[in-house]
Amino acid sequence: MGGDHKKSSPERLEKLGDRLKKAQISVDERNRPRQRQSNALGFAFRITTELVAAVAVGVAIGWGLDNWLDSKPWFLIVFFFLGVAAGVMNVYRITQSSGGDGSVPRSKLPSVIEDDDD
Amino acid sequence: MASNTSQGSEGGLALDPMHQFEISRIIPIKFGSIDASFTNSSLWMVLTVIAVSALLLLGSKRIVPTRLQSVGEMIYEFISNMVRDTMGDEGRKFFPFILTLFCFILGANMLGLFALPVLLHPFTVTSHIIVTFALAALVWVGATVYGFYKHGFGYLKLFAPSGTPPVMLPLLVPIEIISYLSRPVSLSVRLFANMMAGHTMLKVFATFVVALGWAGIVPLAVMVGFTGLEVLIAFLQAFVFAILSCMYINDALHPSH
Repeated sequence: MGGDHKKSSPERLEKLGDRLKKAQISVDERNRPRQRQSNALGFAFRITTELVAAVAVGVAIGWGLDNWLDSKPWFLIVFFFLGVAAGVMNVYRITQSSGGDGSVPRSKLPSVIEDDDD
Repeated sequence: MASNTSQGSEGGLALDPMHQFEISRIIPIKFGSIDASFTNSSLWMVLTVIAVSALLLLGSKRIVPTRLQSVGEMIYEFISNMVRDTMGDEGRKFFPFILTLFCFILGANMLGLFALPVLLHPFTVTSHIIVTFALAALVWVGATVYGFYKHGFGYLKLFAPSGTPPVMLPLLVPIEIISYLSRPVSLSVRLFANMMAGHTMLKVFATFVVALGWAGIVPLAVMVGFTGLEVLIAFLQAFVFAILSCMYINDALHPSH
């Protein structure tokens, strides 16, 4: 919180600071539900792609190894399941790190609207 | 607004919603067998860079910011907070990279939503998977190289989480490796799929507006809402891309998780 470039009447500045703080809190509260909603949308997209991507990578590796070693379809089967496991683990990690309600922990989400400049 | 675009580009009712993703050469360039033509995609990348640079560099530098200036300042602070929160002080040196990445993706997403059918056919750079994959691969390869540079072979500990019983390692390590390899894939597919799906949807609804005549006002209203949603998604996807890049680089900084 700034205010050090103007030293006149510290009381007024303090009052202003209080009012700013109050205004900020109310802005925060107003924004919270919307933020969570938009976050949930990103979260849903993130989970889906994370799951699918891991399976795709697993299948690609298995298919590649099969082609290379001429061992159809064994590597494909093994790596498909490894891919599924990796996908589930990806999703599990996301939910672990975020507390389950968004792609990012609330405290880690910098808010767009609130800005405390000069 | 996108309805104008589709009309302007093809006319008639048989509109192809995928036409907007076509690449056309503007200045053909060839190096041997490599086609390095300056395409409409390149053009919109250049426009994105120009627009974002203009916003961030040429804006006024007043103490009480103008609207545009405060947009630039907000983006700066937003990314600055994000970098500090996800990577700590060590991540500070990656701030310029993340800011550039975020601004480029956000700029490309947003510019693609504008329709200027008379002058230029709007094109969304990020709706092509090769573009998003190049960006994701840059982040992923960069983070991997940096991780090995910083920790040497200690970086491989990332694939063996601490506290795993040794019996589980032969099963867990391949899973971890697949999970690690899937990062650039999910990062790029997410951005590309979102942008492409959104733009295709807008085009499809735009054809309804034309096809339904007077009743077209209904899909038109839906499109207004969709456009708002697309703006949200454009921002959200740029944000998700940037924050995941931060997390991947954070893994390179601190491999034990």
